[in-house]
Amino acid sequence: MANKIIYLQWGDRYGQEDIDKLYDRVNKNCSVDFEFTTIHECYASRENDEFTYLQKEYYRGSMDVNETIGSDNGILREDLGGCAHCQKINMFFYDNELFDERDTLLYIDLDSKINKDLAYFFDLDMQKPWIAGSGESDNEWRLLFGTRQNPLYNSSVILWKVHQLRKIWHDFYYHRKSIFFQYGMIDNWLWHRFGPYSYDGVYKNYFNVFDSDVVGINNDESIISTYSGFTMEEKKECLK
Amino acid sequence: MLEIKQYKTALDVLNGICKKDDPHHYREKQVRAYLRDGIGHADDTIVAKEGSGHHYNKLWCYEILQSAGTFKKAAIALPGYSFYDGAYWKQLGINEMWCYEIDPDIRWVNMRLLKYILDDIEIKGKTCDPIIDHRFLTRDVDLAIYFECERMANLNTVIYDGFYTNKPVLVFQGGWEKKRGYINLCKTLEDFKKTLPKLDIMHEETRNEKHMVIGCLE
Repeated sequence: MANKIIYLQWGDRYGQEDIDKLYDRVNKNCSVDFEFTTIHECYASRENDEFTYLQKEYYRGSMDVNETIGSDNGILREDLGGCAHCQKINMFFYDNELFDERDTLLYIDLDSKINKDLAYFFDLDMQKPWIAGSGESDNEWRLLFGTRQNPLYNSSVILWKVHQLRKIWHDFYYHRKSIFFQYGMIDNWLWHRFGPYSYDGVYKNYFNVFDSDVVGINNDESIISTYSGFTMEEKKECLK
Repeated sequence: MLEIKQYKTALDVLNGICKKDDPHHYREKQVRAYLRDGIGHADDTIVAKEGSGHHYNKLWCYEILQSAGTFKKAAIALPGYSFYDGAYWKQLGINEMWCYEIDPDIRWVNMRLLKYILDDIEIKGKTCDPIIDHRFLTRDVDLAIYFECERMANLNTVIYDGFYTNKPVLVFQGGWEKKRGYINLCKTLEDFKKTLPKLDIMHEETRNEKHMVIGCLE
């Protein structure tokens, strides 16, 4: 049984320098034994090829996302179709091939800052998997619910045991076309399908959610600070 | 009589929702704006003003449906606020209405907005996505309405021959207005029809940047 800290590398937005930075931050802030593991997108499968195809088929924006969703256009990333960060979903299926069944897996986005001891995560009750929240605390987000904006899950940090998220992969695969057409981002779909308002009793509240002082957005007081929703320039500034 | 009940319901909702401890207080502005679209005096009911966007498009659909007969059990995907709709549901003879909303709160606000009609119509609902959760929709309906198809993937992927048990009348509305959350825009009526299941079409029309197709599955 081991504590695994993993990140996923795909595309060319982040390079070796970012990986090294994350490793340094983890190394300085983890008082328990851990193994740092990279999962590459090249860990391919027929399903992965299909997701890649669907992403190209259903994405309705230009290659430059920021240009397409510019403030004058009145639309957000979610309206462009495809499913941003869908690469994460394959971790939920192939975890058993990469890890031991008793391992605890802590996934951290490369654009995260580690501020305090990560040992906290490996001491949690693992009856249910854990995911970060978006940090929204008032009701404003609810007004945007119908447009699939503002999910209250943030997949930048996920904690799970091998096999625990397999149901999610199966559900994603079963509904893949609709998800790539409609949801825009994996976080939005996770929130709708596995959050507190899921119609289905089996999937409702599938995750425990980290408090904002454990995983926060741009919060140096939290153990992990994430920067989801920030531009690349803003992230670089915050992660200096 | 219905008009009086409607006024009383609207006042009750507004008097309740303006209070800070009301669970839907944060929707006050939205509900007020919605109710403001109302104008009275149409066969003793309050209806939405012509040109009031989504609400008016819904009433356009009900008016066409009145010539298609009466219905007992109906379902609506993504109805949004439905204060003005209730009176039409009654005119259509509906006594059981299923509402499917992706927004968890709209269902509960709707139960308050439709209080005036609850003696006549049993209103039920689920918070779900009509596309991804289509397996869980009620299938033995006489009428199924899909408003705002712009917010969904193509419906021909989930509605197929035999999906509904009663061969219901199906209504689809969609258009080409660019707006947050509208992800499936169709400029022409022909393009819109390609996104739908194969239908024996009873009515098709385009108004106010909206297409509407009414028919039964082939």
